[in-house]
Amino acid sequence: MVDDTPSAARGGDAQHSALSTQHFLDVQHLQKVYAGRRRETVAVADLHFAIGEDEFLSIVGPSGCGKTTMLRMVAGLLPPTAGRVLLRGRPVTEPPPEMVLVFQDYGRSLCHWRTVAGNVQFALESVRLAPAERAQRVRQALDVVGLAEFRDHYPWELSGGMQQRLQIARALAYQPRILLMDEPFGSLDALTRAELEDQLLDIWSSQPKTVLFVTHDIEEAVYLSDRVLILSARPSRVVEELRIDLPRPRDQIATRSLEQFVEYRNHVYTRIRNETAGAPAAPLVSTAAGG
Amino acid sequence: MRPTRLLGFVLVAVLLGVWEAAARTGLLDARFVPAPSSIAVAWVGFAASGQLVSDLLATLGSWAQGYAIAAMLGVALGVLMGLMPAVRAMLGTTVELLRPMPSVAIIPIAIVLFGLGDPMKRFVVAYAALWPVLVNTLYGVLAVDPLLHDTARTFRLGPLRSTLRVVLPAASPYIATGLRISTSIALILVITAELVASRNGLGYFVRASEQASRVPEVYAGVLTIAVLGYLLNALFVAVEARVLAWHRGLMRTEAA
Repeated sequence: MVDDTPSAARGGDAQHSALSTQHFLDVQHLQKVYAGRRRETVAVADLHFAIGEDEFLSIVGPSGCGKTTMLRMVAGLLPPTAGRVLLRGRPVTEPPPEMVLVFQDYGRSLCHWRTVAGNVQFALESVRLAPAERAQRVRQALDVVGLAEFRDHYPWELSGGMQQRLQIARALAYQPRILLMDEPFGSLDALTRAELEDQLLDIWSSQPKTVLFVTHDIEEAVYLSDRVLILSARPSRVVEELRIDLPRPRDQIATRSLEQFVEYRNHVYTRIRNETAGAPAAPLVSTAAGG
Repeated sequence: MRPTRLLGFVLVAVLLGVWEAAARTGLLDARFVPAPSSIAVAWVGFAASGQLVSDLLATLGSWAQGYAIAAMLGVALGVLMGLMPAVRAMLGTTVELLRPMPSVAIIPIAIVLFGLGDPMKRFVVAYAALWPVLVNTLYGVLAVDPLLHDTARTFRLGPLRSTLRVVLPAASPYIATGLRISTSIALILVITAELVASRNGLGYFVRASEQASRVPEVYAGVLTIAVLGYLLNALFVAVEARVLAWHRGLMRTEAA
């Protein structure tokens, strides 16, 4: 089956090394159970994976598979029921200073009473900086995402794509080592989405950082990432780790036309379809993880 | 000035004209409903004697002080209740018991506690104006998007900073509603307190004029209070339009 493709084998190697060495960010047997009135809801069953420093890791899975819950736990915003997150070997119990979460719903996450520049400045509220450097960081972040000329506008005066750019500028001004992104381009049109994907890759290669990117868009995950984790339907587990050996810099047309790209995409797609079709998830996990 | 606003003033002028004519022709008994012209004469006398200024200042002083106390206390309690479920649970019942009571009922107690005078007026105003501010602030804080709380936490804003920088501004449209309701409630209460038990202020002027059977002065005082209420509201609306311009813009784009 799909398990025997070369890419799957490489995924197996990645998992093996994840177990043997300490990684930059370790997600260890993370579980989230919500206690209900009558019964418990298992949002996240058992997530176990690691991210290397400066790696671009995407997580794809069927919708409603607990990706947001997982990300909030990794970000230190939500305490897990079981398991833990280690950053450089230290457990994450609150939002770590070097980590920022970018939300899907930019409209709800921006401060609509602040201007564009004011929103970027928001990231620096708790950072000790000389006024000159503060202004410099705001300017730079706005330059990178191409919003410099809109600095005195209000977020609600911008298009959706520009608002999401603003949210990314805000995250960049904070200069995080780790960027967690929760379906950041999920509600944008295809052209804007492609543009922002490339902008993100530019930023990632010019200012190296670790990116954990959650998406339901398989092609997006393959296009952007060094490695893709495939999650099962709820309660979620990692079904497979897939290393993406596509040349960088990537290009919307050239990369996506590569035969390899199409193979990766089809592989992930098949995997997720099997998951949502209600195929027994657990046994598949063990065979896949075994490589 | 917009034509509709102008039309409003035209109607007021027409009504005054009709009133004047009715009083002069004897259609209205001038002993009880004096003509606007004689009310105007009384008002000029009220103003020229310097009593208008001193009564206006007395009323405005009690209004402003009581209102300021209510605004600060209401916002502070509303934020605490909104952010801390324990505080909300503790104070919720008390608030729900006290709030529905017509605030004028507190006046006798205020007189017992503070006697006749400005402290009594301040207390009554502060008490009555507190509830709209508190309740609206509470709702506003509860309505703050959880994603904004997450945003504040991911950028590591502490509790104080995130209250000042996120919660208060996000809840400000609600808080403004409470403050606007309270401007007029505060005026109602300060005038009532002055009518019932006071030795200064516009309310006192109206009552004293009434007891002395100076009917035109009664009307002059009442109209002064009406204009004061109108101006205070207009001032509030103007300030709100500036401070909450972002919110109107946001609402417009969300509606579009």
